[in-house]
Amino acid sequence: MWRVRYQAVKIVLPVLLISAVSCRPSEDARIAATHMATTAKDLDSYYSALESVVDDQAKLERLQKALLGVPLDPQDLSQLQSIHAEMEKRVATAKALAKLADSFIELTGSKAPADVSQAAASLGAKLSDIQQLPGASYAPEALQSAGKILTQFALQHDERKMAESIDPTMAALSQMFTQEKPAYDSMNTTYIGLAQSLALELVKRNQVDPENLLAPALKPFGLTSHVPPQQVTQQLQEYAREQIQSEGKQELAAYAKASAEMDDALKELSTEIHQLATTGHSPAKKTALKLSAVELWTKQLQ
Amino acid sequence: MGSSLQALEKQYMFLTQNLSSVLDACTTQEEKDAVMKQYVTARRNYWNSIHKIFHDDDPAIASLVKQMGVEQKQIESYKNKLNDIAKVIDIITDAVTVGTALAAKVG
Repeated sequence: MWRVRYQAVKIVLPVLLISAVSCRPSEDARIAATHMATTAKDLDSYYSALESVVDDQAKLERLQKALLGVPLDPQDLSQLQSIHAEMEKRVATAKALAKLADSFIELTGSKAPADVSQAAASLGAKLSDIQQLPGASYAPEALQSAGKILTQFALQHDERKMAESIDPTMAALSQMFTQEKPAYDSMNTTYIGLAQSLALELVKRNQVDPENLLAPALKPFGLTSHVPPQQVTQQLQEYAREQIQSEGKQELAAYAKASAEMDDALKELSTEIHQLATTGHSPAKKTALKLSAVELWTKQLQ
Repeated sequence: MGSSLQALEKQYMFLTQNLSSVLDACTTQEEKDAVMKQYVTARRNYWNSIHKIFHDDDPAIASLVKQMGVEQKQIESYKNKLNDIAKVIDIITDAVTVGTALAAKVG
């Protein structure tokens, strides 16, 4: 089903890309394009972070095999690689959307038809890149002549038509995210859960250096700790366990906020574009959306 | 969240968090192997389910999800009775078998 929805987006996206360029759009269209750029960049960050989560999940499963002897055969790794490939496709889609939005902003800032034409040609070139992105399983025929068509569209002045073209794509992207969100959320939950279980196992085996726990007391005086493993007390081990639990909770909370915010941002953008398409005006705020929760979560993962 | 995915995630996470103590309670290699086998199956069921969108409205799946809930409670009730490891392994095996049936239904 992921594939079906992803394919649906990939079908609609080129249509958007081909017809999204109509020169000299209003302030509403410019703001919508700016919002699209911000949202697309955060979507890229979000999916890229989830891609890292899948990579780290594989590393954790290898560690679990080393620590506890849990079997891990090619079938298990292939499962994770397959999920990773799905994430990669979503990263590619988000990047394509960000490129489109940037190009569209470029177009909205253009004054002379020559500039518009050049920007459209540039967007056409970027569309060609999309074809090469990993995970793009097919290239619609329309995509191949996108640059030429875009240049023609750039010389027209139908802003509403542009929004109408964007409308189904944004709706499809937003719907895809909402429908897949339970899977994204679950992947992050199991990643943290597995990491916690292994961290607790290492504490149990007295294989965790408590240096960072002691640092707040020693750092102001330029000192570092030196605690041989056999001298790590029960109390320090308990402190380490508490840290594992509390930091895990914090990560899950940060993720939940980021995921909900990303979902809301996509819905908001979709509504904005839809209104622009149906009324010619956007309910957009004058300032770009700030997806701080997504940024905070992705930074926390680094 | 889709209840099927939620049920499989819950089973996989519960076994993950208790794997070490269950393995410690095993007295023979056969018991350890049996636990590992069920754990790996639960993990595969979970990751297979991530690929798919669940048809939660399917009555057969709804029934399995309900059964998963019962099995999950059974496992949790035996969390502190690891001295009876043979029984614990049986219960884990039953629960994971239901999970496998659920994972096979979805998609």
